[in-house]
Amino acid sequence: MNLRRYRFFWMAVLLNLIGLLVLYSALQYRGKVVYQYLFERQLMWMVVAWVVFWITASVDYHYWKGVALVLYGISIALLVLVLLAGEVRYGAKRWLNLGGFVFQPSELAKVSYLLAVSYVASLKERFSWRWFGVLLGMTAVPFALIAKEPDLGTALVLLPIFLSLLLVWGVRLRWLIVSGLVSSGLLPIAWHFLKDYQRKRILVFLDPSRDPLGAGYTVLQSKIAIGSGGLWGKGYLSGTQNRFNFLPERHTDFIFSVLAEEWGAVGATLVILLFAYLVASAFDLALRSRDRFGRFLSVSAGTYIFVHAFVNIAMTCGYLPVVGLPLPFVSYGGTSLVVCYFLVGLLQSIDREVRRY
Amino acid sequence: MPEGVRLVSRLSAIAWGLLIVGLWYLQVVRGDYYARLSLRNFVRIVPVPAVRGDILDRKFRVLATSAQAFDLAVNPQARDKEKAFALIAKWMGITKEEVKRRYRRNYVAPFLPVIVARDLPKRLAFRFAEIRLLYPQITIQVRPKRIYPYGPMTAHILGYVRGLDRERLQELKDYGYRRGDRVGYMGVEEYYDAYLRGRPGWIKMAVDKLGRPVKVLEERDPVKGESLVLSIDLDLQFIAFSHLKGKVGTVIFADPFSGEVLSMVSWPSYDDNVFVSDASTAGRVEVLTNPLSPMLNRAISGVYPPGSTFKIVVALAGLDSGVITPKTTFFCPGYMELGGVRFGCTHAHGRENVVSALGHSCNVYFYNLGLKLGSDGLFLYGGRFGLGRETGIDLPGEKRGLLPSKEWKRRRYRQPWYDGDTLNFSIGQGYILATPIQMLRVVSAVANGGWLVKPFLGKYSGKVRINSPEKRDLMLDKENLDVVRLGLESAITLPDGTARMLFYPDFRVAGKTGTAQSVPGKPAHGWFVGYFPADAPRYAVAVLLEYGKSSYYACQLLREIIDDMRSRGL
Repeated sequence: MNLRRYRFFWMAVLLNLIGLLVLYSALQYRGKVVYQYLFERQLMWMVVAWVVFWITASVDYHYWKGVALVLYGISIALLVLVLLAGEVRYGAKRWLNLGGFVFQPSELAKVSYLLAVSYVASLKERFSWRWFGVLLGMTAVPFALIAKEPDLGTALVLLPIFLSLLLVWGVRLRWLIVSGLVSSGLLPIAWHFLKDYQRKRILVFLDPSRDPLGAGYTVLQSKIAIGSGGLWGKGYLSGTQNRFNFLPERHTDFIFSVLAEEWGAVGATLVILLFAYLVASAFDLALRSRDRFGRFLSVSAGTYIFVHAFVNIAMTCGYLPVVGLPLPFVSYGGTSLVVCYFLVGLLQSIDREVRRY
Repeated sequence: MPEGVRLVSRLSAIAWGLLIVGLWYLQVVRGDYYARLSLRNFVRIVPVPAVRGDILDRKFRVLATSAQAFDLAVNPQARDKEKAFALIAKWMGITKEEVKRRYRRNYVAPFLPVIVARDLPKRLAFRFAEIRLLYPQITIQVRPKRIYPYGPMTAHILGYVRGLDRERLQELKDYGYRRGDRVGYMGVEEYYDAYLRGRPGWIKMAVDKLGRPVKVLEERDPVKGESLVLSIDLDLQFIAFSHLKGKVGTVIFADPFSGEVLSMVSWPSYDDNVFVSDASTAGRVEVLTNPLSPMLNRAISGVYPPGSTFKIVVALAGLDSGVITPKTTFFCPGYMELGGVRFGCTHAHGRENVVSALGHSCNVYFYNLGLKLGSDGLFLYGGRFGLGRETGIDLPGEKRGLLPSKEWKRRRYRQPWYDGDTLNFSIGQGYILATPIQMLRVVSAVANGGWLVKPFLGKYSGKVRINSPEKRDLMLDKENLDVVRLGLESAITLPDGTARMLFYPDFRVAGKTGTAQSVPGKPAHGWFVGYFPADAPRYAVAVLLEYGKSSYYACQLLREIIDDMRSRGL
């Protein structure tokens, strides 16, 4: 297997393997693995994800042009359905129960959104207000539906993808900054529409000690875990914050804290650099891509991974509010893993197309 | 279009850079801070108290020891605590709400069992222990508990043990004491706390988020405190106590040569066990509110005018300074007139020398002698015999008494010293105040040939001698001492001696009585200080009866004690 040709896959696998190592440690409690089945389930999902990758990488990515809008339509329908008949967990309607198979339509919505806007944007060579209006609408509908669940974190992922597409499309950065400033002037109004727990999270983000055992507890413990890791870390399987159960959600959204505690600044930085390299490769692929669809697809896939990794890590370090975004390839969770391998499969497919000419 | 991609790529690179900077700030710049927080998160130190050393009498009989106390505790981590609360309520005969209230009040941390009842009766403790498999929520904790088998008999000597209060903590925290430590209060428990307490151990353990112990990281076993051997003779203590009981006052016996205190009793007394146990609040309140102050150790903390017992000092002062000789006599018409005021005597004694004046306790003789010595002379010799300052006995709370001087009076009252003051001073009245232990020391010096000894109780800590006799030569002539001794014997041997009651045909006691005026309108204090056998002193003794009306009763008490001692072959 050619290392260079399959570089997207190998980077994903490397991150995935690191993730499994950290996950194994995160599942320890009092010196033994107590959630063995979670580890096994993650291994199973990894195999599923590889199959998904293999299929996606083999298929010509232009195929997705045809199904992008259909998928988009289905996911919008599912989002509406989840609002009407979803299962409520932790005070949010995010889950849909399809005969024993429970999943989050918002995950599917993110990917289908990514495919659909890439496709729609690629139809027009230059910026036009009409197409901008169409793209804005395509963003606003799933955004509103997901935010309504409420799952603000997931909804907010749509925005960077939208913005990066606009930039690639030729919208001036200056223009985006101005409109960004204008919309931040509208923040107080948005505040009014936020749920109580969301406001609390934002307030706690601004000052974690405000409520150390409540909403701020997770962030505080996460910061303690990361900070106490120091330069070289406490050693694999030796993180005290991890082993003695001070870190909540440590196998899913806060897995980076375990990594940083046990592997130190050195290990954590290496993982960040891996992500950075993967994302940069995606953007580099966009530059070399022959057609607009491939270009938009590479950029949005890169942005997708970038946003998840960046927001997740910044969140565990306490630099961003807690939003439920997993760390790609590393966090426990089948859906996220499959989606990420799917995106890497797309990139692999585009790369093969680039090589052909 | 490529510009757009490059822009997005550049923006993401900047973002990664910021993220890495932020990460390094957290992990490297502030790493130590978070490392400390992390340690505080998971390391808990649980102290393990050391067993306190026993306190023994001079024949190694136990005066204070540690027994096992059983505390009933509920484990905060256990499930179904309600079931346990119900059982505890039923067996203890209290309401379930009361059990829960105690649980909430005594809750400390998730990893420490919460004590809901202290000091359970043994049988009840065993009953709870037997059902521990059915009720894992309940634990019986065993801890050392101080017990004083003789209670009030030894309470003033021993003191008691209780939790460190804020004030003592301030004093002691530099010596490794911590909040919640149990330390000695009063008596030798306080004075020798450092020897008795031993070294507490600890268990350092890792706990999880809920504070549940995960594993023991490190531990240090406690070291039992050293035993303390006192000079007290339990038999003598018992005799003195049983005869003093019911009267207000104190009896002290000591070895006149070494200063070893052989018995020290003070009544009213209290049961020091009530201060150890948490259950006996009522008993404590009663002790603390009793108007007769049972916690006051009158032997060292009670100050009284020494009355005629001070004449021992005055007589020796006169002889030693050459103001009088054994042959010097004064005539006693029953009073002395000074500046138009009559200073009285008990009888018209006629002509008296120093021996008979001591035996009869003739005030007029000592008025005359006092005038010759002057207040300066009295002050000087009083000081040489250790009056007006602590004896340095190894008990906390010792009082200094008061030895007046011209200078003192001028400063205190802005008044000159009158001859009338000197007359009062020379018979141990007026301003002078002394503790019984101070007067015991004075009479010990006569008994032992002129040495001022330091009284003490603590002899050994473990196998180490902690006090050796400490004595200062008062540089008194042997002949003068013999004269005073004769005077002290004559108090018993003379047919009209003040302590005639202590006459034994086969055995001689020597000593000096004292009937000291107290507050106007209240009865006088009765004193007797002396030693026996007179020819080869083994015991120095001081008896004081507070408001005891007269020295007669002090002598009567001592007579009972000596009779008892003799019948027991001491």
